[in-house]
Amino acid sequence: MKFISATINGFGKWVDESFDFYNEGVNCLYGQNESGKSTLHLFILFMLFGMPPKQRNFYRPKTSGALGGRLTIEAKHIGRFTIERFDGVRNGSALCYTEDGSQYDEEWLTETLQGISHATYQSIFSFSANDLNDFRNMKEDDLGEVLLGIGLTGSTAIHSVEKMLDNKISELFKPYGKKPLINQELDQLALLHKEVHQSASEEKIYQNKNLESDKLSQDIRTMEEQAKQLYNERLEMERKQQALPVMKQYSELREKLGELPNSLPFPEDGLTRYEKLKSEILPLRSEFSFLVANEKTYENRITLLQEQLPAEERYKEAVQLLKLKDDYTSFVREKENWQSQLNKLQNRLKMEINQLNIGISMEDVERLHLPFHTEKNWNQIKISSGDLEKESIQLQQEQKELTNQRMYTMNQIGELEDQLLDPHHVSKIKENLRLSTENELIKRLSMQSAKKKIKWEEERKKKEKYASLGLWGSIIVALILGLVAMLADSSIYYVGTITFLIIGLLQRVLLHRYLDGMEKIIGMEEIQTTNIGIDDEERKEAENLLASYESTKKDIAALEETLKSIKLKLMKWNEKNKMHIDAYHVLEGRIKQQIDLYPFLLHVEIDYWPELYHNLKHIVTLSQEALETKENIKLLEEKKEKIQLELNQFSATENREWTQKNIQEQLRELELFTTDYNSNLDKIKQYRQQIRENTEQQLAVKEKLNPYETEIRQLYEVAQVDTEDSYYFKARQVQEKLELEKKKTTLVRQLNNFFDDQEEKHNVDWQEEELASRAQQIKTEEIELQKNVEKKRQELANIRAEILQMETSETHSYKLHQFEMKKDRLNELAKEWAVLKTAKEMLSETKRNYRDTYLSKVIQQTIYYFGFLTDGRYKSVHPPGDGQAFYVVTHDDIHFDVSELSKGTVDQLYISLRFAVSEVMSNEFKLPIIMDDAFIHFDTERAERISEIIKNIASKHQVLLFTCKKNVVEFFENENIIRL
Amino acid sequence: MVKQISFIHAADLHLDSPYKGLSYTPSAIFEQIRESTFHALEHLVDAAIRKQVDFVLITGDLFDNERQSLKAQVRLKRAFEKLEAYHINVYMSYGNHDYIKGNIHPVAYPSNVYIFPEERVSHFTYTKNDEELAAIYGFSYENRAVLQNKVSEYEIKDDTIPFHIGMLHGSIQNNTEHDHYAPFQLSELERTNFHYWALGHIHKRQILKEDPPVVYSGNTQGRHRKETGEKGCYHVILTENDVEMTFLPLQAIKFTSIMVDVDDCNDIFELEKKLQTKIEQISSDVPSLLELTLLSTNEIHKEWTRESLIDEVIELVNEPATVKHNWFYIYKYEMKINTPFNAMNSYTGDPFTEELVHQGENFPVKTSVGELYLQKKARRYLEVLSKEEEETIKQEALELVINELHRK
Repeated sequence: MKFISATINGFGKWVDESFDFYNEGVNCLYGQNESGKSTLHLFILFMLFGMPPKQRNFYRPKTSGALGGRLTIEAKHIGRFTIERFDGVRNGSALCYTEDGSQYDEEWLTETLQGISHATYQSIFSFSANDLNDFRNMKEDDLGEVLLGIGLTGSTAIHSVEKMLDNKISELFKPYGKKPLINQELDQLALLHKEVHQSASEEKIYQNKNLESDKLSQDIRTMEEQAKQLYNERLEMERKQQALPVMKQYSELREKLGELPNSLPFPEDGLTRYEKLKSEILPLRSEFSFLVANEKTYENRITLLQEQLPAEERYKEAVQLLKLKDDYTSFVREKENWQSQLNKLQNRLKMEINQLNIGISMEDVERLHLPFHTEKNWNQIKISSGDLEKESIQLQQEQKELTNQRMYTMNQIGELEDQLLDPHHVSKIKENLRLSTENELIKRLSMQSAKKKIKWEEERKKKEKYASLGLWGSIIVALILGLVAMLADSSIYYVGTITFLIIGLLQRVLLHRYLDGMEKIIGMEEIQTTNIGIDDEERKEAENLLASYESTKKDIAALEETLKSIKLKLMKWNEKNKMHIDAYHVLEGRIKQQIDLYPFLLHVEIDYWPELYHNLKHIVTLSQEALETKENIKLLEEKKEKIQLELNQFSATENREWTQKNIQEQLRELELFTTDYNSNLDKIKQYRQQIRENTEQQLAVKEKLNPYETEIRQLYEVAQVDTEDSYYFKARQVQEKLELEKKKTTLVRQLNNFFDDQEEKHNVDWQEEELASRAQQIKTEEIELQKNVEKKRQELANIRAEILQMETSETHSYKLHQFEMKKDRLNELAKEWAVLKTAKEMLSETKRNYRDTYLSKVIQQTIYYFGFLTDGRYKSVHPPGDGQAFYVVTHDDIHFDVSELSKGTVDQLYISLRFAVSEVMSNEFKLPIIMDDAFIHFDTERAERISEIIKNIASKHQVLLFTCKKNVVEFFENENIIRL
Repeated sequence: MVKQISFIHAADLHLDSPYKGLSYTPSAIFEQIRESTFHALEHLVDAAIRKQVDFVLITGDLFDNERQSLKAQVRLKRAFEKLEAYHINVYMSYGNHDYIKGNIHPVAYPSNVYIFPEERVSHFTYTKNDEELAAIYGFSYENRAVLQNKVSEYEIKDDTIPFHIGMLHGSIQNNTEHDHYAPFQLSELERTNFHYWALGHIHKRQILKEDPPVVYSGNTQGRHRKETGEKGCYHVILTENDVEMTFLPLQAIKFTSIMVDVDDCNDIFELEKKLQTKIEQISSDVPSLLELTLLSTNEIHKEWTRESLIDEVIELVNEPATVKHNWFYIYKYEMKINTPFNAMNSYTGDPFTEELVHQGENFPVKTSVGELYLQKKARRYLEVLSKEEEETIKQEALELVINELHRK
């Protein structure tokens, strides 16, 4: 792009002025100060970018009214066009005309200028000495801004978009903010999330609540049941307590009733009826008892009399005894006679006994009994005693003879026996002979036994065979039976098995035994034959010896025969002697017998015994007579005594005193007794008569009593009693029972008021204290239970409410939905934010990239220019970065910060940079560069170098150089110089 | 008599799950939105009762474990109880959103509800008048994901039962839009001799195959700007040789997307009037959430947008519309201005703009937005930007900067 010409209608000091610019090289516009250089510069800028009205007023020309003018530009694609701006026309906005006559507006112009603003243009393409002052502090951003400002978009637009985005972003979200929408949403969401969690976890306990509720209702049910039970129990207790006194009465009553018999038959109105009867009966009874009393008196009297009255037999006895009175007197007399006779006899007897003088007394005589044979006995004894004396002498002689004979014979025998052979020897010889004969006999016998044995052997075998057959047979039978037993399981078969086994074994054993026994017997028969041989000579000698021995023996035998007959005779004597002694003993026995009977005989010689007998006989007869007399006396005495006895007997039963009395007195008493008896008898008769009358009266009364008594008996019968007492007792019982029953009914009624059920068997073991304490206990339990139930109910109600609340609760659902919606909203906002954020990031990134791209180009160019300007002293320039300002590197690698450089060097650097920027940017946008006294402080050398650079640049771009320096103009002698 | 069963097939109820992409709604609408999934459930129950179906099939994702609310299950229980009163059985399985182990409120459902208890395929037998009419097969997700093909486990157990229905919560293999949960291939399902395949997981309603029917009933309530149109369930009547399928809309709120050409509006009031007219033309029996796209070539609209005039107009339009019975609400709008101006071309020659465009080509959006997107506090609530979103942000940012830089 190139400026072609500028026509100023009016701008500052310039009015109706025209400038033509050279197409190639540097347009050096030279003028003194105040010559209007800067105004022209400004006019160009005004043309390009316009100017705010206030600023425009400043440049309004004093002389003519028209502020404005035209700038003709040549652009690559568009060709030549003219920008026209006038203060008064369209408010200073541009109007462009192209060569083909088209008109364009401001917008078109901006577009054509690729969005470069006034400021940008100024910063890139137009620069002045003043700008250098800021350079030292130039930072990365500043440079970047400069670069960004270049281009179509322009840094302002970018800035405003960035700002807008930032605003919107921070309206939506700040990482640590509270206010922005997303932050708010997030907070709300977090809260909601928490609430959802909360409500969810609340719902989680739903299951537990349900379980709890079930358990609670179960508990309550159980407890209510318990309470009901307790209540019933307590009611029962209370009822029992109330009923207790009644109950006690009742139980007592029952006890009493129990004591009474179950059935108490009693006539209707029994007592009254009975009383009435009694009142009727009583006078009769008293009459009757009076009669009975009378009767009793009579009877008593009779009894008394009768008791006094001896028995009739007694009376008769007494009469009889009175008859004995005469007998008694005769007996007394007779006894006296007999007594005198006895005395005489006794005297005579005494005399005679004394005459005998054999030591016998009267009593002996009385006892003495002399039977008729005594006399004979005594005579026989006298004869036998004499005979025996003679016989004894004869016997003693015979004995002497016989003893002598025997002695002789015995001597003869002894001589013969000495000649006799030794009997031992004889027996040996005899033995030898016997043995020889026996041997032969034995030989024959053994032959016989051998035969017998063979026969036995055969038989034994046969028997054994039968035995084993028997044994096996029985075993088999036993086995079969055993098998059957096992199959049939019958004990009978077992018994059979065992029996058969035993039988088999038994017959086997028995046979064996028998055979063994037989064996022994047969075996014993085997006798050994001893060989004792005796020859005939020996035998003969022996036989001779034997013969002499036999004859001697015969002699001895004859003598012994004689001895035997002597002995026989001796024996006969002995017999005789024995008989004699026996006879003597018999006699002695008889004598002793007689002496025993009559001891007095001991002192009397046997020869005098017959005489003594006759004397004794006489004495005994006398004594007999005396005894008889005594007997008669005794008889009389007995008769007397009998009378006495009879009397005594009578008296003993009648009157003891009488027994003390003698018979005559007793007899007198008897007479009195009989007279008394008769008089009493008469009295009794009298009383009896009276009793009879009385009885009649009694009967009459009884007759009257009878119906009453029958009635009473009937009453008794009904009452099942038999006495009045028991009747009355029963009556009382009945009365009692009636009363008790009545009471019981009342009590039962009362009890039934307490207990609905008609239970008759109420427990009566209740203890009042126990009941009371139990009731109290129950009450406490009840209260406790009630409390618990209430509590549980409350809990249940709460839980139910909670459950219901949970079931009907919309909270969780609501929160959930709200949460989801919020989340969606958040996501939506987040996306919105993401778009903004991405946009912003994208913009920033683009900005950065854009800057980076152009910065490197600029720096490169800067290094070139800087090196050129400093004559190669610096080889590198580094743009600001990381908070650091520009720094440069010398050719010998020394780093210098901008602040360390001299003012001149800094100016050089800045100029290099400006040139670099301008050149790079111009390459992109191809805008002319305007310089306004840029190197006023440079020395000639540097100025020359710069001019070289400018010339160089000008070969590519149009350059407008405003200067007031003459020397500067000299550098551009060959360029286009426009003098103002 | 011809054997016949009727049932309702629904899936993906997502009860009480919040909507996606709704950053703001007036509170009245917000309440209705919150209730919308439940209303859809109520409509489902009403439909089942009205149609007197034998049973209801719900193939997974009844609610979201991630955003579980007790309300969801309590209301579900109530709905089932209502069905119970009408002797309608419910056969349901759990899906990837309501997988068994993630459920923190195991609510006891009434006895008419049969839930497939495990990941192994099992079956329930539906009995009507003592006659075993249908065998229903299915499985529930025990964990967040079931990645293996489950089709082989679907085996007819009892030939004497006339109808066999498979419930499967998963997606077709090679379907790139969704995670491959319980993947299956259509041909595999065909081979099973089942009478009906009640699928779940895909929110877009589609009949993959007519005979036998292999059906995604879709979700019952759209919760996303992309889930537009009518949402509901299928009412199915199976006879021995025929199938009758009727779609029953259940949604309480409909997502609708409309475009309005406002090129000729040179006045902001004109634009408002045009919008009003256009919106009044939309008739719907349920309230609608509108996504509006304004088409224009008019440069002035740019200015209106920048000056939030459009926002004001939308607000003006929304204000009376949201109080109507079948209200509508423009929850999102976009001004698409197609001007001849092209940033890329018009500023060539300007080194800065050129540099800017050059920057925009590979600009790292992630880094630039890290300040917010990686901020600890914000990170947890912000969704990671997708490539597309990044690109959009970049373009928008570039346009914004260029427009702003060259604004007159």
